[in-house]
Amino acid sequence: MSNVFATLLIAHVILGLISVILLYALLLGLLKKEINIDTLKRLSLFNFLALVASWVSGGYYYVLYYGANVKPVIMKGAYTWAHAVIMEAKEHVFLMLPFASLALLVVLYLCPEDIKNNENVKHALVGLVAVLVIVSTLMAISGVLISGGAR
Amino acid sequence: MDIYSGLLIVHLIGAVLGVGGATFIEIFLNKALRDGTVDPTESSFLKTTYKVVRVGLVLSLLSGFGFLLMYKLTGQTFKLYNPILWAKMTIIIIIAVNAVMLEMRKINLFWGSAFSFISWYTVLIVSPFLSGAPQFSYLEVMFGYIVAVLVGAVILDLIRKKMHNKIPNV
Repeated sequence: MSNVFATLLIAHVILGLISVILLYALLLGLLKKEINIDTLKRLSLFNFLALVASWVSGGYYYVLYYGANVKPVIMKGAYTWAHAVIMEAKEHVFLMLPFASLALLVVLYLCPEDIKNNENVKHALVGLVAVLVIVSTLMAISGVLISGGAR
Repeated sequence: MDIYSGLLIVHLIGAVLGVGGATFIEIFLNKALRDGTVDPTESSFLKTTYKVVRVGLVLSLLSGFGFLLMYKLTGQTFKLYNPILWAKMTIIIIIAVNAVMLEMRKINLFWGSAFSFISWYTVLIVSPFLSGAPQFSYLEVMFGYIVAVLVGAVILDLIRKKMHNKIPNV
């Protein structure tokens, strides 16, 4: 693997993991009695940027390296499900993350008072962030399974 | 210093902060609950210790995935299917879920403190077994973990009750 693709893969993994950590911090922040909207805004902005950067770096690696070099190795090995099931699911499910994160960012910047004062809005936002945490964690775990299947 | 040594140092610092923080949360909680209430100073100590544990969790996660990346880039992908690694990841997810449940007050102190305390120690104890060929299956590690949580919950509760009974009558 060339240095460019290795760097892209490292960026994809680390930025994705940072996004999981930021989303988890957002969830804990939203569950507090006294919500600090400014902190949540910053976390959601960094999360969105990290996710988009992870998407671009992962996408570039996937299109120009994975398809020609990693996928054939997985499909010839004992863990074909690592690509046929996990990667096929990952590449589609991942797409919801940047857009849902953008929605979260917009709500936090445009409706801070509603989040503080309206329990229904807060609960809906907690639900959205919880789904994002679960899906992004599953994405991270899928990445490990896919990498481990290539041998 | 090579990448492996750097990752190992960060991973160890993360584990030290996590396990040490979880231990001190138990100590501070037991001391705070001796009189049945948590006063503002005790609450402040606890909040700071929770932050330390979370820093430990973040360092452990980042360096842990650093190791996984290193295995991938150096052709040691077989290590990514080590059952002990997956047991460790499962327990780290339990630590994270437990923190959310505690924040939402959806889990009581009996189970919440046991999951936090025992999970961190289990992660620390299983880590050395990651090097070399797997010595335990995923189910063996998880079974040992569940037994440890059950026993640990009872022991931690007994300690709390014993400390509560030690309050002198004024």
